[in-house]
This record gives sequence, C-alpha cells and structure tokens, in this order.
Amino acid sequence: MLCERCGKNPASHKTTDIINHVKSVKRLCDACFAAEGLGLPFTKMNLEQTKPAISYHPTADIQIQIVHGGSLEERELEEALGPTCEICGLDLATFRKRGAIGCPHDFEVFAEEIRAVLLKLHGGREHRGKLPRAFQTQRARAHQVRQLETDLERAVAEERYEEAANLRDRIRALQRDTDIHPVEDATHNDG
Amino acid sequence: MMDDDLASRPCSWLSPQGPESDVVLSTRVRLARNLGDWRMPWRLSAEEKSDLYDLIAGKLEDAAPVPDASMERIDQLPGLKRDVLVERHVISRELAQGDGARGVLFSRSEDSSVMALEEDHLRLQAIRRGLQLESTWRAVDLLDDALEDVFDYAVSEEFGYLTACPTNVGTGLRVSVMTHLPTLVETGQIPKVKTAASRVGLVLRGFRGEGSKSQGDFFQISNQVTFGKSEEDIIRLVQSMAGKIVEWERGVRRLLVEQDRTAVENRVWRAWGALQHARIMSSEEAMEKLSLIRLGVNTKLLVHLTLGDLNELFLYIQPGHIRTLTGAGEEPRDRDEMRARFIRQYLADRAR
Ligand SMILES: [Zn+2]
Ligand SMILES: [Zn+2]
Repeated sequence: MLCERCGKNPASHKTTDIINHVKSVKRLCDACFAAEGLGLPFTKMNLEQTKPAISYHPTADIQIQIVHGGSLEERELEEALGPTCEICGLDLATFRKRGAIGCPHDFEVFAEEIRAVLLKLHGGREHRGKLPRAFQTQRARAHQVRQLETDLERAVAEERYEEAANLRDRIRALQRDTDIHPVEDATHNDG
Repeated sequence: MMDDDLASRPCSWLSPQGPESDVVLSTRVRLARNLGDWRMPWRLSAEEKSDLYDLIAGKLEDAAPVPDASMERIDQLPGLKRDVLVERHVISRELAQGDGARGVLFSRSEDSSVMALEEDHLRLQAIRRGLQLESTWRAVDLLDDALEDVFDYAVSEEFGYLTACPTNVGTGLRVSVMTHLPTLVETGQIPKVKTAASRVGLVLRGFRGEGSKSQGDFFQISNQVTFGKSEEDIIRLVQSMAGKIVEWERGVRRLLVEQDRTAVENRVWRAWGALQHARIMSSEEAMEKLSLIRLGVNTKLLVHLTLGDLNELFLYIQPGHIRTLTGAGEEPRDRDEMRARFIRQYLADRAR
C-alpha cells in the first residue's frame, strides 16, 4: 500500500485520529509521518541500536519519553473511541450511531453501554423468562461445580483427604460428561 | 413452495371468526433469535449471508418444526409474490424489501412461519384469528423449543436472547393484537387508549397498509418492553389491555346505536352503496368503507355478510392480492378499477 499523503513511497505507519467523533485511519510513509508532526518512529530495534550512543546524551530521556508518549497517546485514543469488537469490527461510535449490535460478542465488549441502553428502553436490569434448556442445564452444572470446588478447598485445608478425593471425582465427572447428571430445569415452563 | 392459488384462498387463521372477533381480527406472536457463532445479518457480506442462509435453510428443512412446511427463498421471488406474502402476514415488509439471501419457512396453513436473515438470523412467528394470546404464545414457544435443539442460540444469563436491535433483547418477544376500533375513532377516544397503553409499556399503532398512510379504524396493540419481564408477564399485560379495549369499543358501539340508530345506519348503508356501485376504488377507500360494513355487521344493522366474508375481503382488496386475483397491472388506476369490479362481484355473489 502506498502512502496516503504523497502517494509515492510505501506506507509504513498507521495513524489514528478522531475528528468530530469519527475515527479515521491514515497510512503514511516515514517522511510524511515525520512531516505531519507525528515524529520519527522508534522501532524496537533502532532504539536498542542507538541505546549505547544516547545513554549519556542529554536528550536520551526525552527520546525515550517520545517513544512511550506514542503508545500512551494511542491508549488515550483507544479510550476516547471506546472498545472495538475484534469479531465483527464494530466500534462504539458505530454502535451509537446505528443503535444496532454487530455480533453476540458485542454484548461483552459494549456491556456497559448496552446496560444503559436497555435500562432506558425497557426499564429492566436483567433478563427474566425463557432460556434454552441446554443453556440452563449447563449453567446449573457450572454452579454445582463451583460449589463442589469450594467444598474441596475446605476439605483440603482441613486435611480431610478421603473426602477431598471424593469431591475431586465428582467435579471431574461433572466437567467430563454432560449427560451423567442431568439437572432438572426448574424455571423453564414448557406450557 | 409457494403455490399459485395462494392469493385466491383466505388465510386459514382469518376465517371463520375467532374469540372477540367483533373487535379483534388476529393475534400474532413472534420471537427474535440469533445464532451464537455468526455476526448479525447487517454485518454480513453477501457471500457470508448466502452461506448462512444455506446452513439455516438446511437445518430448518431437516428439523421440520412446522408440519408440511418448506423454505421459500424470498430474494429469488418476484415482487408481486412477495407482496402477497406480506399482505398475508407470512413475512414482514422488511424481509420482502431487504437485500441478499433470505427466506421463510411456512406451510399451507400459514399459521406458523420462520423467517431467515431478516433483522435477526431467525424470526419465529405464530398467528391466530381473534384474541388468542395464550394459545398463540404456546405455539411459538413450542416452535422455539424445537429450534433450540437445532441451532446454537446466542444467549447470556444477564441479557437473555441476544438480538441485533436493543429493542428486542431479552425475551425477543413481540405480541401484536390487531383490533378494529371504528367507534373509538369516531368519538375521539384513541389518544386516551394510546396513553393508557403506553403507561404499561404497550403501544397502540395505526395499521399501515399500502404506503405509509395509517388506515383509519385498524390499530395494532403490542408490547414495547422485551427485557426484564418474562414472556408470561408480557402476555398477561397485552391480554389485560386488549380485553379493556374490546370492552371499551363495544360499550361505545352500543351507546352510538342507542343514541341515534338511524345516523349509524345511514353511514353503514352509504358505504354499502359505494361498494356495490363504485367503478374506481383505492385500497384506502375500500378499507374505510369495509370498516363501516364491519361495524354494521357487528351491530346487526346489516346481515348480508358474515365476519368471515369481511376478513376475506380485507385480504383480497390489498394491492398484491388484487393484482394476482384480477390480473391488474402495476398502474394504481388499473388496480383501483379492478378492485371496484372485484368488490362488486363479491358482494353480488353474497347478496344473492
Ligand atoms: Zn508519503
Ligand atoms: Zn462484534
């Protein structure tokens, strides 16, 4: 890919900017990257190469700060933009603009935002009602495993080893086979 | 497959009449569902959509959750046939007008269907005549039970069923009751009904047929809240509000007839005259006149038609049906002439 500023040199830098809440990504060559006031890049290698030479140099600290400053700025940008879903590529700005969810994973990525939207739309804080039976069984089993693990810790701490071994077997059985102990689903109503 | 005579028969769920059918035309319940491993339809490329469609269609046809149903690929269907399916409530307008691979699973009875790749990966629906919330919900709940064994649904403990739009998150449930409220309109009560509905998280919307113009006396009452309330709570809420609206409308009908029977008769019979003799009839005008005829039938001022006949007519006068039934062209004028002729013939057959 060629530099988006001069269109001549190969682009070697990716810059991110926010203008009017819109994220824009630009790919630039070394010269344009510098000309845009973004500073010359410090790759890990050339920093190491120049390290002995600048170790006593008065600007050494400043240069290292610039390197760190770059990543700090990126982190700030990231925070200002909010998270981006790595599965569907949806970012917070697009989510807000479209009011639509890109993939199921977004409910984790934008959980805070979604909670606020749902509270405003529905006045609700958590789901009530139907869930798939398999999901409920799995959830009940996970709950059971967590409880047994607590029991196990206590048994080990109190040196009740026979009981601990027993508990460990039960946990393994639960984790291994999903059909051995089907958990009655209590909340789902087939009617 | 969509058979060619579809448009010439009434929907099985429309006639004969159902519970409270003097006020309620139909009850519809739908569930929005998505698959955990796929992006939402609007984030899919054309190729991905086509792949996912094949996967969903294959699984739906194997699982056969609706007896004798088959998949209809909507993007490969001519516009007129799509219109007919929209008018019969088998598919949504959004599915008809969307883009990319998409389709619907439905059977000849048309009382249950599953849309694939609308706003969500799956939209399950059941529709019944009259006011039948419990049984309509049970039908779609069972359909959902069958499909959750086949598809890996996107769910979370906190958010419930995950949907493309936050307005459907949680239960993914939308319950809609189609009502006919001519005397509440006539006496200016609709704003009050709207306020009462919105106070409990429900919404009353005018029925939009052709175009965006709301068609007079028909209103759909549905839930807005899908998150934080259980399906049973939502069903009960709509049931209670629909029941109140039915009583309200009936009360005003009685009152109007008691107060000035002749004035009501006058309007009903004028509408009858127009339908019997008009040579050009838009779908808006037809809906308006048929609304008055329906009022006449329900208040026993007019006995030439049954509610079943009227439900049928409401369906047949829609643009897609008129074009299919009469061979009218796309020109509105042509369609309106054919509609007038169709109605005259229909009434002449019944009045004989
Ligand atoms: Zn350049
Ligand atoms: Zn995503």
